Amino acid sequence: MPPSPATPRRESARKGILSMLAAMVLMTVMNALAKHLAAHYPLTEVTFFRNLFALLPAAAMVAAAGGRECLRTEHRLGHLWRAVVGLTSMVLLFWSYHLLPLADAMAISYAAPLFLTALSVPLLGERVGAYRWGAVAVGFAGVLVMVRPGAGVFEPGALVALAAAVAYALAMIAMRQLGRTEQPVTTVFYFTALSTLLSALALPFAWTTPTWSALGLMALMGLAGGGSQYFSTRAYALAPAVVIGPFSYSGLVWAMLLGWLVWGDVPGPAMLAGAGIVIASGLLILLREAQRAKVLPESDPIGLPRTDGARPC
Amino acid sequence: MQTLLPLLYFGGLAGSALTLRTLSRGEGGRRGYLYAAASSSMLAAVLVLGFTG
Repeated sequence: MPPSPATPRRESARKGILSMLAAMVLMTVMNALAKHLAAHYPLTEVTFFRNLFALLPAAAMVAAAGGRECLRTEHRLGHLWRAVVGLTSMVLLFWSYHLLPLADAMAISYAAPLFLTALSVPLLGERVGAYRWGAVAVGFAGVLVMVRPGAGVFEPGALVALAAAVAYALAMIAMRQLGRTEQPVTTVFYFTALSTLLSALALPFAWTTPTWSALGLMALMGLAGGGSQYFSTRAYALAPAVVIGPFSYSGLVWAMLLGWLVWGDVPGPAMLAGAGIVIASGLLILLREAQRAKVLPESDPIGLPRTDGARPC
Repeated sequence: MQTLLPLLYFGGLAGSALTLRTLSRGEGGRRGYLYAAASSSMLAAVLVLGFTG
């Protein structure tokens, strides 16, 4: 019997989902290593080595996609801005891993799509309807449940994780703007290369010579980070964001597992409830974006780098 | 050594920035390879000096 026309699409979606699951495993490994290393080395140094070693997978992606031709760009300032906000988000996120249990920090950082939706109105000129504003409001209520502001004071670690989410939302907006003309592989390469250079600027101010074993862990962290970027880029290329996006939340499961196994951290009921609310609102926004994309083909689904207008390498 | 290290460090960073600029313009050839080789050698020297003290 010949295969039905839906079979290749289903196979592609299956591969996309598996790629996103692999990306999340690698990302959690990177985060756990960053948490471990940030306890012994300056944050800026950990960030530098993460980016330096991630250059290897990034360069491999460029080579596989067509080589140096993929690196030609007219948007140098756009890439620089994406690197500045992406690097800020990374440093803040690593700092929050140092201050909070791994799963708690990751759960709070899942607020990024909520900030993205809110910021897309003033920064991208997008129209956000009552449905998505409702989801954003519910999501922020979930964030409040997680960060538990007591007597008007937020825990510093929670504030740092929230700041990381805001910076990541700005990075997503920059990726969205670049994605209109740039291939994902171009954006990934310039982000990694420029972040390495920018984080190297801070090295003279805070440097602790790593032991060889720590350097090995830093290499593993960078390779895991670069590998995670490769698999998530591949996932979004294989299937629509509405299929792939929900699986990006699987990182929280791995973070809870690693946090429990390595540091003995068990998330409290407030953290679990808040994370559930934030994830549910993120999924609602994702579904609504997918519905709008069907009605209005010119709108781009959340989290999916739009590459229709991007030139091939 | 104290004066050589900052020189190599900033030279390496500047060379890396020039390499990226060359790549982004689609230029290449001998100049691109020269920037890349010089900057990576300088940064590698800084790392070696940093590790060996």
